[in-house]
Amino acid sequence: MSVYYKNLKTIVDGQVYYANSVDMSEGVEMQDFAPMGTAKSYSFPSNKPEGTMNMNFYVTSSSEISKLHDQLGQTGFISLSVGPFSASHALVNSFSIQGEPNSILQASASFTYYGQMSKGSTPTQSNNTIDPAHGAASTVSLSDVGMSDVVSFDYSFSQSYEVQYSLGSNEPSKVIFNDATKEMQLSALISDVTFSKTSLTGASELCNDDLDTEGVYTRGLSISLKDLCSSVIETLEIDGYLTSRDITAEPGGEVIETVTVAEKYVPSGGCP
Amino acid sequence: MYNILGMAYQRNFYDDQFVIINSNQLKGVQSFDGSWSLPKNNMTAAGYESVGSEIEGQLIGQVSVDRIIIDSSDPIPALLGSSIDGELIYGPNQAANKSFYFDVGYIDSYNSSCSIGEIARSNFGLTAYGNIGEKGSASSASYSPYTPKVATANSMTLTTSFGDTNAIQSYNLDLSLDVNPIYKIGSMFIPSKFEIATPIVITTSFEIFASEYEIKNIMDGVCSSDFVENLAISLNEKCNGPAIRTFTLDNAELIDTNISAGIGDNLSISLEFQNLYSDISTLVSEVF
Repeated sequence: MSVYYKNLKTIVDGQVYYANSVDMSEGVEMQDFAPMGTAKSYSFPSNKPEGTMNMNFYVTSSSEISKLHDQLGQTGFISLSVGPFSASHALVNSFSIQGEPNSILQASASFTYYGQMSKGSTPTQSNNTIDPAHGAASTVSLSDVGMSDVVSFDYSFSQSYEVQYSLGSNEPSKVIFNDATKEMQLSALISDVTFSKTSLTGASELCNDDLDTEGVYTRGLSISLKDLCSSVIETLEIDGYLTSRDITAEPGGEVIETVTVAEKYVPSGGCP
Repeated sequence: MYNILGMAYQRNFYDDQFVIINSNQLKGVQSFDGSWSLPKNNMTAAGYESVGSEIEGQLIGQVSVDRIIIDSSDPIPALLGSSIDGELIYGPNQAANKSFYFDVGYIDSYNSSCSIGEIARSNFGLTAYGNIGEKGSASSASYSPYTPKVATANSMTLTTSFGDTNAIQSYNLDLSLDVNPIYKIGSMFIPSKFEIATPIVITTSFEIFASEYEIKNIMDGVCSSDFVENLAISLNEKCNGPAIRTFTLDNAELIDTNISAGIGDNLSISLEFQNLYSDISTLVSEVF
């Protein structure tokens, strides 16, 4: 039976996504050997196949993002299905969403799965219309970095794991969480920035006397994702430290300042 | 008036129409074209195919106005680089109760040209942002009659290095402004400010029937001042009247030439010059 784009409904741990592009790819690591006395080479897989699934999707509901946020620091496997193709032992690698003023917001997520994908029955085409989050309607609250408005944003988190196998078992026996980081990158016209609030370390560099005024302190930022009818879909939040700032300009243009705020995930406390 | 199945239709003749820019009635308007289009993204999703459409891109309109030069005053050069509003007002029997309106626009092109036997033209185009279309309220503007002063081809004065010994057939002056609107997250398609990319380029071209003119050697353009000259175009009122429009292009650089010869044709040469400017105010004060 033929399988088309219209059959590839994308579901992550029970949550349906409106993915405008999705791909799955997998490979297996082969162990090669050639015994003495023969003129042949043999190969066998040393572990089960591993693969990745990537999707770009429209953001239409809070649950689409919270499903991914809930996987921050989690070591339990989740299931993926892309139409008839599915994987049962998957972990979230990263999630990001970019915003431009006149554009539909595009989010993306990446997963690693362990064990090769399986193919089941082909779902029939679903029908729906959506009202996705849009940059023209979304709003920002960024006073902690001295920005009143932004011309673009990029919110993301990424995490890494170590998946261990045991002798005598085909399945991964243990998943060890390594680390995770949330980042928010914001670009604003310099006229919309209180420059001193974007100082990385404050006027006195590494001294602490600027704590909670300028320089090194945690910045609480949020972006409300809304559709063009101004309905709030989800709010992205971060509570982290300024780690970089850039200044750029083009001929005839005003200087654009870009700052990055990063928050390290702490397993015991988690991200807000 | 036409009566069709009991309904009355009335046309808008040209005497029912006039163009207002920043409260100024434009003179000599020959045509007005206004348009907008919604940039719809037809979205697709795996498992669904079409999931509807959504606006993605700038909400802008385009306006172009074609004019002949029939007056010594022109409000357009002073409005280059500034936000302007305007409208085409119309209505049957000069009712002036309809309009194609825009409240934020930036002129992005200006052109003047004239050929043998023509009245000089001065056209411009603009991009409109924000409200574009019906105004929503009746316009307070009204048509004001005026007496035209015509700038004809035979009464203009051209200052060039080649005009004395070669018959200039036409000139064409083009100014393009690369206006960049700045949008912010949450701005609902309304730009918060505008930037004009530099350099701002004016190209001026002439077509001549060559007598003495010989096209310069391109290799001399590597390091020579021969490719730079001062140009001026003075459009005078007919019958040797006073200047009603001038364009001054000092230090214009020759950048393009073309020679064309054929049986039965005059040998013609086209010359194109360019001037670069770093800001709009300098351009306006030096050129217009």
